[in-house]
Formats: sequence, C-alpha cells, structure tokens
Amino acid sequence: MTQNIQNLFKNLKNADIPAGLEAKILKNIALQKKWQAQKRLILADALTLGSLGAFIFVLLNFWNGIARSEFWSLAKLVFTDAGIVANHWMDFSFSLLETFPAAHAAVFLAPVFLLLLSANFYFKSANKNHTKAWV
Amino acid sequence: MLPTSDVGSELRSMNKSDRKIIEEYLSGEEAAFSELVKKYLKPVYNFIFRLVNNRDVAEDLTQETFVKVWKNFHRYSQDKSFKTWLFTIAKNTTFDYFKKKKEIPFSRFTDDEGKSWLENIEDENFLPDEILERKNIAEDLESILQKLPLHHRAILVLHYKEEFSLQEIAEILDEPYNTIKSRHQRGLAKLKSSCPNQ
Repeated sequence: MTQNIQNLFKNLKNADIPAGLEAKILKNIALQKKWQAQKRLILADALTLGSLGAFIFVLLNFWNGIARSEFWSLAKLVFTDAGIVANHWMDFSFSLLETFPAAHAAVFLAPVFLLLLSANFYFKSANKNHTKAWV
Repeated sequence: MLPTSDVGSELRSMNKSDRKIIEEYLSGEEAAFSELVKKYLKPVYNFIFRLVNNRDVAEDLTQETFVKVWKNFHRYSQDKSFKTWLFTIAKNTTFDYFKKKKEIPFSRFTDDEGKSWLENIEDENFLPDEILERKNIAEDLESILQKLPLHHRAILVLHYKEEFSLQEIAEILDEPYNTIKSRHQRGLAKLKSSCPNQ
C-alpha cells in the first residue's frame, strides 16, 4: 500500500519555479544586508556623537570642578613653592589625595569609556560597510 | 515497506554537502548561502505551492522563507538537520499567511475542551488499494491533494514527496509524534476516499 502511495507521490509533477525567483531571493537578501549595515552605521554615528557630546560636557564640568577645588589650589603650589613641596612631598602627596575630586573623576571616566566603545563600534561598522562595497 | 529513519540516524546520514556548505557560510563564505538557496528552492517552492495552490503567493512566501532563513541563521543549531529547520520555517511562513487571511480557522479544529475533533473521526471505510493504481489517479493526485485539509496535505507531501520521517514532520509542524501519526492515517484515508471510485 505504502509503495503505491510512494510511487504516486514520486511521480507527482513539480510546479515550475517562476523565472528569476532565485535571483529575486538573493537580491532581497542583499538589500536586507545593506539595510542592516546602514542601521548599524546610523546607530554607531548616534552613539559616537552622543558620547562625544557627553564627554565634552563632562570635561568642562570636570575642569570647572578641578579649578574650584582645594586640589587645584594645592597642586598650584608645585609651581609657586616647589622647594617647600619637595621638602614635604609626603604630606603634600597625602593632601593631594585627600582633596582629589574623585567623584568628578569617576563621572568623567564614564563618558570617556562610552566614547571609546562607540568609536570602536563606529569604525568596525564603517569598515564592514566599506569592505562590502568592494565585494 | 517505507524506509523509516529516526532523527538520530537522519542526522548521521545528513547530506554531507549541507554540512559543508553551512560550515563554509559560517566561516564567512557569503556565496555558500546561494548554494543552499539553489539546492532547496525547488522543494520549498513546491511544498508551499501545494499548500497555497497559488503561484504568486507561493513565490512571495518562498522568498519570505529564505530571507527568514538568512536572518535567523544564527539560531540554527548544526546538530540538527538543516532541511528540517528550513521546512519548519517554510511551514510557519505559510501557516502565518493562512492565519492572516483567516482562511484556516484553526480554532475550528478544536472543540470547547480544546480537543481536536480530527483525532476523533471514526475510521472511514478504506477503499481498495487498486484505486491508487489507476493511471487517472496519478494524474489527478494534484487536485485530489487540494481537497484534503491543510494539515493532512502537509503531512502527506512532507512524508511521501520530501521523504521526511513522521518524527521529523512532528518537529516541522510542532506537533506531538502521535498526533502526526494519527493525522497521517487520517490523511491517507481521506486521500483514498477522495479518489473517484470507478
């Protein structure tokens, strides 16, 4: 019984594939690939610009923070009273450490890290796009 | 006796060129994907065409299937049969099409308790096997297939035309093995009962 059915189905005529279907599929996939690459690049652009803006904002704040802090007042002594600083270098170092605006520095490092990551992502995406353009 | 193969032996005997092509593709050989398209375009198109019975729709759904395969390739597990995975996507794409068109009221297949009435159909009287041997049956098989319910048609085409085992068909259709086995029998019964009795 199953042999009859098998034979029946084996002899079932296959429909003709529409002309150019294979090419259409591959073209469709190529378009999808291109769009994916473009989306990646747009995202990389947005991330890089965003993190660059955040970096500049934080940098300015960090600089203002440093300039107004006791840390900077102490640090300036290196230029104005180098001899005294040299004689009391250990106390000077501890004072610098105590007054260092660590919070500002931490906040500053975050956008730096983000900027480096997004720049890496941007260059990778741009490189992929460029390579595919040549293939 | 129909040669049966469980999933394990199917994997072992999986076409080596499939594995080779996929390895090449995964190692960055983009052109390898087009080899897969070339190889499976005809069977996938014919499978979909037999379900939808419309060339334009079959063409669109076939395109959609291969694009989905490409997009989801990272989800393909190399310890499974690529052909099974591909036909699963083809089946899902086709069934989604029917759901959107609302041509197949899937809820109609289950009663209020969620049981499928298809499983409770009494065995129909089997017609003599000689019915299947008549030449006109072979010629009319295409139109006879179109009279069958979608699920039965899919099972018969996958089993007898594409030579998937019932276990693999269970995977493709995402149904329990016993359900597929039962529907296979129902499908055969309906096939025979749909044959003109001359």
